[in-house]
Amino acid sequence: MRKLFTILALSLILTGCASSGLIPAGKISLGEGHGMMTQGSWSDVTYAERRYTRAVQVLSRDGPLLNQIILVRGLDAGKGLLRPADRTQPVPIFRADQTGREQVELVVETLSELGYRQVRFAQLRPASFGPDKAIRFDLTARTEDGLNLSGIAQAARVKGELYLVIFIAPSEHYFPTLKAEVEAMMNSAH
Amino acid sequence: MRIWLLALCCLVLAGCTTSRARVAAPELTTPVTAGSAGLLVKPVARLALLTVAGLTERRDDWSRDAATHLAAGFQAELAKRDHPFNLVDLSGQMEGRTGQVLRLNEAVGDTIQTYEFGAQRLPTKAKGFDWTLGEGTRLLRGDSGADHALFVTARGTWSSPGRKVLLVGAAIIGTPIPMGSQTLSASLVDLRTGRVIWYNQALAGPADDMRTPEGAQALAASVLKGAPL
Amino acid sequence: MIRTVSALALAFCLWGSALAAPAADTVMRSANLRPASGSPEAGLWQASDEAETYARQSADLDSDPVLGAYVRNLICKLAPEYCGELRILVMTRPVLNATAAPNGYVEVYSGLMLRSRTESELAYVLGHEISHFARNHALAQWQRNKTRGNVTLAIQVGVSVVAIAAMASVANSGDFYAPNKIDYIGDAAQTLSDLAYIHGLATYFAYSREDESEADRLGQIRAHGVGYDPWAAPAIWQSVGAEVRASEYPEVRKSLARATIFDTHPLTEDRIEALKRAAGSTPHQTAEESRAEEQAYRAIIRPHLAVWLRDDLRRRDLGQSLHLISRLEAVGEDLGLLAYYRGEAYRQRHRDGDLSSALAAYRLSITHADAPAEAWRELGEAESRAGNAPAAIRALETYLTRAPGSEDRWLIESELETLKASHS
Repeated sequence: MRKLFTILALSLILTGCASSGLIPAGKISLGEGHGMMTQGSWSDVTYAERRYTRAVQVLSRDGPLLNQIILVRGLDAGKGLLRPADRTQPVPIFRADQTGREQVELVVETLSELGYRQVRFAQLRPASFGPDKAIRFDLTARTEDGLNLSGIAQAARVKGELYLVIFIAPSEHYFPTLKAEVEAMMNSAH
Repeated sequence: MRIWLLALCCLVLAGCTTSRARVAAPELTTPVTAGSAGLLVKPVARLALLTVAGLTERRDDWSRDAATHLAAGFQAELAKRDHPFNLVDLSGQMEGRTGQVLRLNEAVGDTIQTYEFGAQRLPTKAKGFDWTLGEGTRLLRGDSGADHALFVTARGTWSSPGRKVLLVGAAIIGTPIPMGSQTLSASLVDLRTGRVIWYNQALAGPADDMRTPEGAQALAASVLKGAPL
Repeated sequence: MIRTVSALALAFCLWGSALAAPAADTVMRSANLRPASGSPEAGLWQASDEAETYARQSADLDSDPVLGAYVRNLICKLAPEYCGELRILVMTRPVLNATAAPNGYVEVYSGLMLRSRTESELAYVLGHEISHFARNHALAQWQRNKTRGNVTLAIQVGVSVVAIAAMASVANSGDFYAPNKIDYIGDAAQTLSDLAYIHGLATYFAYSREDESEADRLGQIRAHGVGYDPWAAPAIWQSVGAEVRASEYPEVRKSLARATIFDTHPLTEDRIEALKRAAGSTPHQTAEESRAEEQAYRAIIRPHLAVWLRDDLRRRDLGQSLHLISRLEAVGEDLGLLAYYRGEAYRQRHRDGDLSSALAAYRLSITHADAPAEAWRELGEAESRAGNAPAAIRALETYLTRAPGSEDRWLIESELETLKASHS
């Protein structure tokens, strides 16, 4: 009886805050064998978009409208970051034979699918993901109601799986405030 | 043991669901000094009639009257507190960086609604009410010299007489039917730092009809209750 | 409320066209009307004013003054009596649509401009929308909704059932803050009702079949009255129908309703037939006339063609996109650009045989003077994929020469290095 009560109590504790996970500063997982160091703490806001697939985790400090980091932790070929709403509305997907250029395109198209307007990449540059090569690039976009956004993203393909870190925030105040911290996170990704 | 667990459960549940004060901690903001000038951004009101069938029919006259009365009501209440707020219309300034700051204000307002007044909480915001628009808000001061801006939004519906009759019928068969309700939200921003000092939202009582000057002022008074002004 | 017969309607009679003038009892709204405060119309106007303010701030708003002036002049030509009160916004959205709100604010989607073959086709669709405006169809529809009004009630009752259930669960939870929380859930229900309200707004513009047929007829008369080809009216509806039937998806092919103007303007065969009958004895354009009109219109939209095509591919219905590209190719201009986007459509669809079709399209694209620099990049990637390293190297090097400041320069340079290393 006592055991049952403890389990009940614990499950209450766990589910009570299910929608608002705190991710404390330190190491976070980017999938099996991969990780990244965070400086500050983050909130898990993956729930804010129902269409995300299992490989996706979304972090935010001030809410998804003000800053978000979309982590893709080993996406299998044939899968996308989003689930299609129905058969006639396919979503951008990752393919095993995609070129680096097409990985960048996947990020741009997925952000467009999420409702961001005029998503553009800029300044593709080399980066590393542990021992593997990665592509880093800048992003600009606008919300439907015209708020300008800036971002940085990084893509790496390791053993046929795609690893992404996509940071996007309003260009006014929020992006410049977190830019250095997020770049440090990306630099630590392996 | 059991009591301890029970207490823990309550604590944890309360931690997830409590409504915190929606006022920024004193160390986050400079106090609003008496007599300091502020900007009252022209209130936005979206009011409608709820028809028998439940369609909301926008009433331009109500919306316009309420916006005017709310502006006057807030100004009167603020004057009582020795804070002169000048009415400004920023709707024509959506270009350039000023427009970006105003759009960011919308995004911050939506976020506050979601995480301070909705069911969700952001664990990274657990320490207290701490929201900002950044220093771009200095642009909103223009040459007014104002240190603060107050943004006010009202929305709501009133039932048509036919719908009130329907309510009685629906009650008999046990179907709940929404009647009208009106909410008012207000946010006070420090234009020097961009901090949202205070944010409040109120559900109007039946006596406070914002379509009348008296109702609007009474609503302004109740929304401003607890404001650091 | 509206008493004056449009002077234009009379003008049509004088024009002596093959088209019948509107019946004498077809009353058009007079210019510069303002609804009485507190009336349902005034509410519609205020909601439209807000939609307009929102559209003006939207990221979708096209900012090209030349394109804006072109559409504005066209509308003023079609409806001089409303010219002073119609405000035109061109929105960059890849679906065929245009709307004229009761307050005189007009949205013209880029997807409509991309799909119009000639100015006559565009003029007809705009004439159709102006006719909804001139006949106050939105208000009539709203009044019909109000009498019928059931959908929104159902939504709102649904919302409130959910909210009440949530309130009950909070009230029973023993939560100290329950009263506050119940308020918030009530507010959330209010917000959901607002969604129902917005949904209701959309239904303002879902016109009845009769209103659509009338707007078809009046739009055709209006456009023909100022010299446009009346056969353009059935032609654009037919070609849009053909595009939908080219969809990748059987569900879309079966229904003309998805993500087009026909969401709110159901298109039926009898509407097309009626437009053909109305064009009646008007002679068809000669081949030269038709070609001249196509080329003149292409010159107007040419600066936007690339952006609009890229947006169209985002719909990820490549069957429809390929059909649209074929139609654009039929004009015989912009062949390099169009071949590039044909290649992009195949590459993105990525089904059996698509990659070789894409390669062929890129190869064709670069033979035309108007091929975009990206055509060489994609050709290079496609040649590399097909195992043609020397051709890939040539194409990628041409890309870097043609687009020296491109944002992806580093990536292409490193691909070139890899290609050269493995090739030598």
